[in-house]
Amino acid sequence: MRKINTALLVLVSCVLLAATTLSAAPSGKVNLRFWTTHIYGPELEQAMKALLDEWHRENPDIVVTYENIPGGDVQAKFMTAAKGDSLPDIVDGWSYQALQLAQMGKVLPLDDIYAQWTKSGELADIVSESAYRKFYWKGHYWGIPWALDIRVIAYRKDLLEKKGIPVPTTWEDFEKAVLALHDPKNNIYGLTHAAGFFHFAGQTFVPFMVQAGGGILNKDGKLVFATDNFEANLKALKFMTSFATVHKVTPPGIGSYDWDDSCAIFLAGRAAFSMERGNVITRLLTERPDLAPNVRILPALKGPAARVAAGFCNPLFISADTKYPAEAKKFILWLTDKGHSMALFKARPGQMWPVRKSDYKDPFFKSNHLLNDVVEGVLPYIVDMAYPAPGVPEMGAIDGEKMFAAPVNDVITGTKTPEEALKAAHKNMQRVFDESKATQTR
Amino acid sequence: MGRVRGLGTARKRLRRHRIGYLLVLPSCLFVLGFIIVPLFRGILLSLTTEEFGGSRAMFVGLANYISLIRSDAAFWQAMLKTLIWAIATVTTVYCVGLALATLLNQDIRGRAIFRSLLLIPWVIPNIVVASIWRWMYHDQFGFINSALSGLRLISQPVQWLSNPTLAFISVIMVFVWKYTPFMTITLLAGMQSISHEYYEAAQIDGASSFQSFLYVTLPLLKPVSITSTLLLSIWAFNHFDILYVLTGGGPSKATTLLSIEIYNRAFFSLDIGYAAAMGCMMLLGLLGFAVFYLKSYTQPAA
Repeated sequence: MRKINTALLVLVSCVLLAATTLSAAPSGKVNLRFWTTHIYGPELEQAMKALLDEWHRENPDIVVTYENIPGGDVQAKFMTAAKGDSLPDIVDGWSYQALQLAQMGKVLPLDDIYAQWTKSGELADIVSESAYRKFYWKGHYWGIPWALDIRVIAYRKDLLEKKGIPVPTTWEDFEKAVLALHDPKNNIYGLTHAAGFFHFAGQTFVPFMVQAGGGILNKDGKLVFATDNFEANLKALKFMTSFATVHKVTPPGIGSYDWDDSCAIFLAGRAAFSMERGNVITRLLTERPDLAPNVRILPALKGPAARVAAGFCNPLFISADTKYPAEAKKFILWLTDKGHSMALFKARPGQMWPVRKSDYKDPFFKSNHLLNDVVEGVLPYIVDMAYPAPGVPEMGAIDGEKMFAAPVNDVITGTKTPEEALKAAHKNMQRVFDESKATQTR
Repeated sequence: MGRVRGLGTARKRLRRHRIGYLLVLPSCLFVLGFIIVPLFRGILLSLTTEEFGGSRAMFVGLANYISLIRSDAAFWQAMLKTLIWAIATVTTVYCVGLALATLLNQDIRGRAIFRSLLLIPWVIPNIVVASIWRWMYHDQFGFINSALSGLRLISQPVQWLSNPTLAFISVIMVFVWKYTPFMTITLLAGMQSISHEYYEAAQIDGASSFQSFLYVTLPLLKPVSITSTLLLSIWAFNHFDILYVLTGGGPSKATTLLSIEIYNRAFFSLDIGYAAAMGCMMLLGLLGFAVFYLKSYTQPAA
């Protein structure tokens, strides 16, 4: 019996000793944990590793360990980590995560970086004011802009030229071109886009709303989706969904499509126009290099009220619980410094886009007609999903619960009229604002 | 005096079975740490306005439950869909599983191969299952539409996932495909444990094959059937990943079950107090169902 007890004691001691040894930091070095949400795929992972090697050569005493969190796990993992006080020191998060976590008191304000950037003129180098204004909430900046995620419309230049139709720039021209290029005999749809109950449907709806003079919020951050902006948003919703419901020039199943499903149709050469992520460029270049020369990216469309495109800026932010705020700031400043992240932007062309205007002077962006189309015709017009509001943490829940994707999906699947769909979505969004208000008054 | 003697006996028993207690201790700690404590924590959370920051939580008693019951239409819609989903999936999986188990219980050639092949859906991870079926259901490139079109059974692609009613049926079929192997193997094991003497006796009494199945196989499979359908009901009720990847809960929220509603509420709206109340309601429903189910099937016949 005594022997068994001694053996158990030795075993437990060994386990404890091993655990302590494994978690110990190398002496004299600062260890920073860095969670990313956009570094997926071998090319981006390699580029990130090379970037960190460079950092470690320049800063041997600050060790940064990165871990990419898969898309499906991001929200649950981030929120439980925040709740358990175990957020990593640095985070490359989704659009509104910095504000959601700031609302919980889990993020460090980064006003000093903005003050530094204002002084050095670097703030003026950011592509658009909305790219960083979205991180401003309750008198502080909670994240710094790092990379853009853009939405574009790709089109078949060859088909357009064959019909002698000029490149559309307005809603009317766009509609005419889509209808003219719809060619069921040759199995080509006029337009394809993802209208399933996924985030992408809402994100492609954003530019149409703003082009019509609407949007989800007003400039004070108040919800006006189906109140002040009802008419404009209705116009946008009717226009966007009319291709499927009225003209029937889209694949009939788009009401279930996520981005991949729709992109596959365009890559198969079965659609003339396609609403896409910037990532379509990577896929064209790698999967259909034969088709790529015949594809172009449409300049931002001009609607009844404005000419805009959708571009969502993703932030870098620092956990409020970090023991090393100075080192974490040093790292994010280094990472966002002019040209530093260029290896990432080049690794998968079109997937991640720089936020600094000066980065676009790199010849890489002129090296390819698709990238160049985006730089010249899309980037100057990008707006965020909360446009024209500044930072609104509630957008995290509104986007996360697919509240502005729902109207597109509802109308295309025929379950609601455009009017009903907008009002139902507004009601859900209002619930988020009401709950947020109740929380803040507690 | 008696108490002292009792304590002494307990101590003696503890000493005598020390190794036994030591060996079950890790399991007890595991159950306590990963099941009992989180369960009670969840119940406590449901009585608060806890959000994912934690600093502003207030005790609100049953307010979350009252709000859920009185005014949350989305909750009741999701609950109704979950009930329909659970009944449809469990019934279909049981019937298909029983049919397959009966077939595989026959002395047919290649029985071992069929049994192994049958396990494939069961061992594929749910996320992969969802991705495979997503492409199989694709209206333009999907295998199902291609096959139906090749057989000249359809002239237009069927919208498996974009028609709300059809989408609900389609996701049920995926669940059935994934979970039928579990039911088949369990029932098959049950069938193989039934003694041949019963069938021989039935045969002597002049029972047909169908009568043997009805009056011998089914009653003797009852214990296995109860356990497996109860387990399946719990899995169906809690199901999340296949649905979330396959349809996102759409189209038009047609496949948004309670698990998806709770996930959204907890991790996007960050309202974990309310989400915990939804979870507790779901747990109560499941517990009630399990007790009723077990009682009604384990009561001795009058």
